[in-house]
Amino acid sequence: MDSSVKNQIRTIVGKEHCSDRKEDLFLYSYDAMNRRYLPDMVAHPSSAQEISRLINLANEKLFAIVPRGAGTGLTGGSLAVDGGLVITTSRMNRILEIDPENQTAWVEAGVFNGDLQSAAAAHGLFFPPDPASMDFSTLGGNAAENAGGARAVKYGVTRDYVMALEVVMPTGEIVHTGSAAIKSVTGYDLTRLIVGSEGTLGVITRLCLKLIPIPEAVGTMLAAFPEINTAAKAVAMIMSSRVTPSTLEFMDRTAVECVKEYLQDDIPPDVAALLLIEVDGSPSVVEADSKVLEKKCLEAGARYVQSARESEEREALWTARRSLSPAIMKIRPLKINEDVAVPRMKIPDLITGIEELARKHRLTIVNFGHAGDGNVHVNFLLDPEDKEEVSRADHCVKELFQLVIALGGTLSGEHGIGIAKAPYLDIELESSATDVMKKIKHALDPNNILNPHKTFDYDKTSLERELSPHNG
Amino acid sequence: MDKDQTRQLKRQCVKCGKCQTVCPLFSVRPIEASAARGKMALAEAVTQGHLDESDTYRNYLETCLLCGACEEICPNKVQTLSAMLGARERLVANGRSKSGKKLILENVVGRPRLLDLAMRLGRNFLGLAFRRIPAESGIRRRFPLPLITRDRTLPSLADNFFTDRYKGQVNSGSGPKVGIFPGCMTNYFYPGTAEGIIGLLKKLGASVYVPEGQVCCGMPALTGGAREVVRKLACQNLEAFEKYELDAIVTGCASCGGNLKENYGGLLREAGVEDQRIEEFTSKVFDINEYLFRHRAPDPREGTVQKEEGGKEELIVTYHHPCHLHRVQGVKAEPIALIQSTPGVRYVPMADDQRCCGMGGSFSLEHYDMAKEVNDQKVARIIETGADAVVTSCPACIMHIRDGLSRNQRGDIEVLHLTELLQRYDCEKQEAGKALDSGTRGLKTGTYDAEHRTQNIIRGLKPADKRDYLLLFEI
Ligand SMILES: Cc1cc2nc3c(=O)[nH]c(=O)nc-3n(C[C@H](O)[C@H](O)[C@H](O)COP(=O)(O)OP(=O)(O)OC[C@H]3O[C@@H](n4cnc5c(N)ncnc54)[C@H](O)[C@@H]3O)c2cc1C
Ligand code: SF4
Ligand code: SF4
Ligand code: SF4
Repeated sequence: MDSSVKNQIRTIVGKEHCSDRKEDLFLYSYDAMNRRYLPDMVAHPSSAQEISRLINLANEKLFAIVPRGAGTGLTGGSLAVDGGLVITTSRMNRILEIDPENQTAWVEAGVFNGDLQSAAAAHGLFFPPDPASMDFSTLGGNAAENAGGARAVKYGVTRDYVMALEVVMPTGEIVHTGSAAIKSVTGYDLTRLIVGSEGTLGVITRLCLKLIPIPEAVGTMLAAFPEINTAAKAVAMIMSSRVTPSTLEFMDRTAVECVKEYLQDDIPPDVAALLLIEVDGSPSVVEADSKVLEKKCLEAGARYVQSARESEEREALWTARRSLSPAIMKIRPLKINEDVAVPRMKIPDLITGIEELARKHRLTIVNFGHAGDGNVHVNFLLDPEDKEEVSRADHCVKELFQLVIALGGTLSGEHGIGIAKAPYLDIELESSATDVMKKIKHALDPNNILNPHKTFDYDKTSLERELSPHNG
Repeated sequence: MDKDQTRQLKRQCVKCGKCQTVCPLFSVRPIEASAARGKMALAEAVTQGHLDESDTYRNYLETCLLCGACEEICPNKVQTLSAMLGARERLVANGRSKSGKKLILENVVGRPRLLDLAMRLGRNFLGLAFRRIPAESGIRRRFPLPLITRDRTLPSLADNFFTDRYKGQVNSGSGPKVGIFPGCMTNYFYPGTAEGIIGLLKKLGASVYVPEGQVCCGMPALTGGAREVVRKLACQNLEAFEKYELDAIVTGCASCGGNLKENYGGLLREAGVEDQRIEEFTSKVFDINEYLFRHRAPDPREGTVQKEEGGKEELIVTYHHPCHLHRVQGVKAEPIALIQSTPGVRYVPMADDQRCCGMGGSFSLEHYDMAKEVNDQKVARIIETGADAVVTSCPACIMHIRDGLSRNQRGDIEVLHLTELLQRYDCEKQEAGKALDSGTRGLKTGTYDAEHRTQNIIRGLKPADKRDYLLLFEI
């Protein structure tokens, strides 16, 4: 990127809102996948118009534009693997409107999910998608990754709550998709095309989101199982019962150990897995449903089922659960995290399969996740210095994906493909499907300027630009 | 070192971003450089040789309250505070710290006599420069203090510094021998707090000492990365206090207490002091809240609030947890219990009471704009409670919160050190009066008189010292 281009960028966003100082490039070189690629410049535009002008410039001068929300993505989606300009939504962080009657909200893309939750709560409403990162990830990023959360088992994922979008297309046009009306079938569903497109088909600048009333009561339970398999069996039994829990989270023993400081009670040594279960609704429904699920757990072989009576107890359980992903790094310095998903009745098969893989490849694997929707976070914990172990893990990951696909599942339940899973895409997708995606991408982004080399656009050489952890 | 320990040390930031949710600076400047994640990333890039220790780097690193909220929340238990301090120390070691600041740290803070003189000088300048602000109580002054360039409401320097008035043994009692470490801010600005401590210890029957030869605890130098300077100060303090063979050392300054308890061990060890002597010293350090709670406070569960005889209206107070007290020293329940057991006082908790007030030591000198915005959040929380007074336990917090309240036209809400509250409601009347007046009293020095005195002090300086003074005024 030459200096005249940089000057044009400065003119568009204002020079105090962009930088090409090396320090700033480092600050926007990573996300929660913890890899680094230095962009050539970082800009913090304040509107769709500014973004449109930046994109026009990129098409003229042919440099990459990489959208970035809060950089909490786990698959490297916001990394400038090809250099270029990182644009953040940090200055577009206003909640524009909450409409309690229609139960909708208009927000700018940079609003944190948690801030919308507090604002909605003031009207007795909530936004169901609740990724564990909700307090520090943006709604634009949530939509771009189609993030899910613990409540997805009952309420669905981000996709199900995005009604309309303002998007800057890869060719610079500002487009409004969807409608604030609940029913809308006018034209192609561009909203759904953009949601989950990982910043490759457009930059989301505004979102119209659906809110729903906060349930009157919530019941929280913690069920402890002597074996992982019995826990998996309980999941299957619960999900085929008449009660749909609002949360059904699974953690294995090692995962629990990593967050035990947040828990109020000690977990007995003969417990191998925990299920965190919630039901919501009217107080009488909550009571009745809790009983049903408690019974299912005990039938499946739970050692005990405990309910969190105080909201403090519930908070502690959730803090523990939300801290899991980074906290398991305590065991080993390197983590490969896969968030595979299978049809939920296949959860017991998946868990058994993973245990076998761990034995076969002699690896430490920690499992936790959203068991209720078949989404398990499989974490390989490694010592980066042990090259042999790392290569065993690489094989294992591939076999895991094969297992998942054999079970009718998918490579990623919620974290997206980014650069992390791009090399494995063909395990799941037939080439005719990737071809359609490539055609769409090419039609919308003929110059391939928006977030290149992500998802199906895997390019090994560009990934080699990664900064090594050592000098040089 | 076993494998676990090595791992502990090697534990690195995984860039999850969770620390952004609690970082007070991130809440006012939501950019990557604000929270620990960004600072860790920069420090890593420097250690790995990808980045130079540039001015921008230094500036990003130093734009931090060192409040520790990030370390507390980090799910991966990354020791962000020591990582950030370590990076600051490397800046100093490599000659990359801001030149003026470095000189001040080494020449002034590191030389107690100079610091003392600087404060005297400053005090006399105040007479020249202060202008009144229309505050109800008349105790608030807005003036440019030598070290502070922007307009803000600051306490006036005390007429009599605490260590000038009290030296050696100040009370004889049959109880334990307790030494007081007032710390600089208390000594120069709020001697009333330390006098309050004397009063409270007297009531316990303690023999109270203000050891001569004690100096600044070194916190500003430590956060400035000048570890060597602090090592020297630590040794001087150790020697000053050892002489008295005390049973306990108490302080009313959260930052000093945290420093003495948590950092002195390492510092003294580096200076070659034997472990036993170190242990002797550090194990005796108590924050005044802790000390009072252990020795006199009634059990909080029994402590029902009673109205004072004669139907005096109760004072509604709320409490702000100083970072260096609750996070660094783990003292959180004690002050609340003490407040709740004080007759005539009703305690109302404030939201986010463990969030930093925005002072952050010298941070607020260099980044007053941000310090002010963080403080505005704190002030809003205080106002929400409807309290008559906010109590806390750190002179720096007191100064910053007072400034914030008067900026927000709520100078009517009092800001009290916990000892002041206890003194006022819990002590014999005469003692209380005496203690309070010196802490909150305004300036009495006349303008011409101050100028005259300043000239005299400058004239009396050695040439080398004179140069340092001029530096002091340059920042
Ligand atoms: C501790 C932790 C827990 C997590 N838990 C969950 C979880 O439970 N469920 C889950 O689904 N994810 C989870 N994640 C992953 C991550 O938080 C989500 O993917 C989140 O949606 C990313 O949002 P962000 O604002 O950080 O986006 P970024 O990481 O900045 O970007 C993510 C992707 O979105 C694109 N993007 C960002 N903003 C825009 C925009 N305005 N327009 C177009 N494209 C954009 C980027 O280009 C990139 O491809 C977790 C992450 C962490 C660190
Ligand atoms: S310091 Fe801790 S909380 Fe912050 S990004 Fe790093 S690992 Fe996460
Ligand atoms: S110490 Fe406080 S101000 Fe500094 S990065 Fe951590 S949370 Fe932010
Ligand atoms: S001023 Fe008080 S609250 Fe702020 S950092 Fe210092 S001790 Fe903590």
